[in-house]
Amino acid sequence: MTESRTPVISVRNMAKNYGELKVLRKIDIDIYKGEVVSVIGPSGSGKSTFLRCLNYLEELTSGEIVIHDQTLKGIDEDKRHKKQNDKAAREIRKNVGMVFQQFNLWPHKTVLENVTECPVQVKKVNKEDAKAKAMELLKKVGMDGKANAYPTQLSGGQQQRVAIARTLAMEPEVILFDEPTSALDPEFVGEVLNVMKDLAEAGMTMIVVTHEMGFAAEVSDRVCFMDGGYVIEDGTPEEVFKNPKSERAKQFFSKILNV
Amino acid sequence: MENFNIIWHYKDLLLQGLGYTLFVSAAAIIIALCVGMLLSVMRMGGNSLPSRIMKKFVAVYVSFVRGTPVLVQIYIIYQALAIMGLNLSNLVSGIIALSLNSGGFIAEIIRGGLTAVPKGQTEAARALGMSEPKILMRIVFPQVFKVALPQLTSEFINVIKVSPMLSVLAIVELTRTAQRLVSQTYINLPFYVAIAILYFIICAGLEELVKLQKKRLER
Repeated sequence: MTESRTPVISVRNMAKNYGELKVLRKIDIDIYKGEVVSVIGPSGSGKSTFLRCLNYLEELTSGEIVIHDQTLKGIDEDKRHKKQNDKAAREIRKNVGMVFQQFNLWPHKTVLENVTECPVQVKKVNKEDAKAKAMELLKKVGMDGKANAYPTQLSGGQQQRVAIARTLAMEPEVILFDEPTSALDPEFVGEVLNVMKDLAEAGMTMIVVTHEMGFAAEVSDRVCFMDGGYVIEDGTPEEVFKNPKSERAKQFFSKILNV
Repeated sequence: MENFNIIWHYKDLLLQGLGYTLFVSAAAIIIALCVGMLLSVMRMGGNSLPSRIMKKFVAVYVSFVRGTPVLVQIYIIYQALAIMGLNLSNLVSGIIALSLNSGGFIAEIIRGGLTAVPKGQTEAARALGMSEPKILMRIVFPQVFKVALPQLTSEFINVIKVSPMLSVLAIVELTRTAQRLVSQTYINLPFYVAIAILYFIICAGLEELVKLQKKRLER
């Protein structure tokens, strides 16, 4: 990583409280174009909250996030930041897509409609073009055969692949994955990880909150270990998994790798 | 047979009354849906002062609608619209009164339906850049209406059954037509049975229509 590169996402001093509960204490991180960053750590360490702050599904309490000249600011410093944040979030969401643990496909729309909905409604792409693009994306995730099915007729793995296609349809620069395989039956985890691997190889910038250590080790350029609202390890998979600097990370790995 | 002949003799008037009933009910149902959605949206705000005021307003509105007789509401709306200087026909005033009444009930039905739409549904739409009004109209309400369809149907049927009260505004809908014919002919039961059958056909027809729609939604 050369110093001259500017980060796609830059997080400074970010903290997030839910009332008294301090979920994120102080996060500083830069994400560069094309990087695949896995965020790992025990439950309650703030991984998902961190991810959700990046596209403003959660308000940050203090600090700031800069994405593409757009800045999200902590609302504790100044209540007026709320309005500015709403505006910045609209721009940020054009460049930052998100894939959820529970897929969150819209059950009243077909697979194809799920994928074309936002290009047509938000980007005002004409319907035919959106459809053609959607079919292309569905093919990419191996779901073109189910274009006219409804989400409830699909397995979890299939739904998640459609959800990835839906996100790709908005042509984001960065995709945030919030535990994309945690809600899946074990037999379907592989198909989703494969799609993600393809994306990574194609150069997509990805931030992946995950419990899949295999994926983190194999696919990511960088692994961040979070605990207690801090990023306490940040390095290549090799560095973090083989030589964790902190006791906390060592303990965590010894527990999960021994099971 | 004689009774039937009499009804048949006045079929044009009865059909005209039926037409008014159908028109008034359909218009009221459509406007009530809009009122119900509007009230629900007003209830969605956070903790800011304007949101709290709106929520309070909706709460008072709903308990007023539920806690006073429809007939009284119709009188009040009719007079209030007149006092406000709006030069509306009785028909329009009547439709507004029915809509405002039913809208309150529909708001309550929507409130129940909203709990059935998981938070992730709106989050996904938001994360993809959809605007809040579009999220409501394209993602949230369609799902709410799907789960709340049975209660909504009952409410629509209720509107049809409350519509005779508009006869107090001299709107000659089905029931009012029958009353007039009764006072002209001094024959009562056959007319009332005839309109009962007509009301039943409308309501049963509506139910069937909803069932068909429900099947379509449940593919």
